[in-house]
Amino acid sequence: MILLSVELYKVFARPRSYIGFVVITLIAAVLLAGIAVDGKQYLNLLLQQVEQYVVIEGKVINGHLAAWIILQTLLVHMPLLTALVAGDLISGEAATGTLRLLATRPPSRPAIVGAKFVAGACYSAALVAWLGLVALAGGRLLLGNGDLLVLSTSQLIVFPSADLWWRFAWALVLATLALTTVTALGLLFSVMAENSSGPIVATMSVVVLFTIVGTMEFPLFQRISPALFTTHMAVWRELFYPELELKRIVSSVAVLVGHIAVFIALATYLFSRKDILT
Amino acid sequence: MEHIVRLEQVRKTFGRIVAVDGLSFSVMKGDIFGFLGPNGSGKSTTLRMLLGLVRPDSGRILLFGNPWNPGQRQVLGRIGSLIEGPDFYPYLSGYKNLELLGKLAGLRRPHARISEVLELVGLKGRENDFVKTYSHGMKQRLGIAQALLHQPELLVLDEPTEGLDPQGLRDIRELLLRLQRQGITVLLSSHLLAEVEQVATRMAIVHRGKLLAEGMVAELLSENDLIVTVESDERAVEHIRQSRWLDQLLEAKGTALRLRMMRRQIPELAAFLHQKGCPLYRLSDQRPLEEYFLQLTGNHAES
Repeated sequence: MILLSVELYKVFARPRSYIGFVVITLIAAVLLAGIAVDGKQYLNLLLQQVEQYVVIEGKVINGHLAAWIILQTLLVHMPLLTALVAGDLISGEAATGTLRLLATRPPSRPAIVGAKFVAGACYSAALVAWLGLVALAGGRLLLGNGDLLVLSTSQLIVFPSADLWWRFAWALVLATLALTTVTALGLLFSVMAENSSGPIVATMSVVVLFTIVGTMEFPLFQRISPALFTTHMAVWRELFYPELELKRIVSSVAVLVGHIAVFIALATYLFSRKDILT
Repeated sequence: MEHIVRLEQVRKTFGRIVAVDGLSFSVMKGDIFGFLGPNGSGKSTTLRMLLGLVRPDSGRILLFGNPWNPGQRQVLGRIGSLIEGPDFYPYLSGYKNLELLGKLAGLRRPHARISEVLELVGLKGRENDFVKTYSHGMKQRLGIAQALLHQPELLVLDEPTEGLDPQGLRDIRELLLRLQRQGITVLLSSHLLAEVEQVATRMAIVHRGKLLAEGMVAELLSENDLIVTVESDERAVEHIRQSRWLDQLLEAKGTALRLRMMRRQIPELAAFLHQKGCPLYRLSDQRPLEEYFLQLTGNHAES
């Protein structure tokens, strides 16, 4: 616990860690302003095909819709913000020489990897929580309360306002799990390097590569796709389908947790055998 | 006498480079053990192996009488170390750095101890400044402070006086002697011969990863084998050349002479020059360790 508290302190005392929070706040503010000013026009454009079949009444442009749009937009880019910190967890200390201080004290190397992973996961959770807070609180403050209207490819879904809080809460939990997978990958690359730029770029490269493989409709890629963690990173969207497919959610969670376990086991093995020469 | 550190035929290679080649030596309880060698001789790699930062390819390392086992890291709580420069978290204050490191070393309430070590290394008053504002000398002092924080039984210091001013050098020297009196064993790695000569009780000299010599400093550097430099005038050079001192004359350059002699012969030489009416402007003995060190490493390089 002491090691974990030290690692948490280090993560949250670093100025670099707050880049993510600032970026999220800025983007959320820009999106909120855009929705507040031009939301109606934007929605008319989206709904022009269905307007001849349904009548939409009430306050459609509201805080919940704004929060949903912000989550959709930002959660795609958050792996970069997570990688900035995760890729630096061990390699950053190797580059500055402080890894020597850490590794010449009683806590074991597996314990160090474990504590750094948990600290990185807490950082991811804090980023997602901040995103949720900014999106929901900001949205509701600026645009008020209301039902959420979600337009998917084949249907128009309306979630009553009272039915939304738990959906958003679980969506944020699942998004945290997805980002924790990126944290674990970043930590694995971080163990192998002596400076942080390599692991950050490598982590993002893997996320981009896997995303491309997962979205291209080649038969081979489609066979691989279910096994890639990136395919399951958008599992949080399941909370905004009319029918809750628990089986699909559990399966995605299992893939993400499996990846985390493999990445952390590999990182622990490599770090335990690593000669610290910096 | 109790062995605190013992290396037995330890070897470490990095690819084709042999960093440490079958090294064996022992550090006894209460020693200030000088670990000497030129840059790149394998000193730092050896110290890193002692502290578990680097895994030896073969050989055995014993700490406090027990074989070093990466799974039993509690032994590291008995060791304080400063390896290759003082690196800290620059975005934290000196005090916060010590607090975090103290907790990792097992100190429950490190505050009183932090004050003590800050006082000891002369950093009191600057502890709340960010480390990024510290000079190299201040970081070096903080490095020594963190090594002492958990009251270790063994202190492993790699070039601890690098970057220190003369006052800092003296402070560290006095500190090491004080720690030795308190029963702390010190393993001091350095390429600065004077540093080791002035404080060490025992020493080992390594070159290209191999041990060249190990033993008591007093035994290795016999006081009876001194290089004495004399500055007088031209007549003195002539008198020396025509006397029994000629056999011991190593070099005569202008009015300066270098002679090899035993310690008890120094007053005899002074009396001889006085008797011949030659002025004596300077009479000094050269640091024997430097000569010894160069002789050993030079011979080894030639062989």
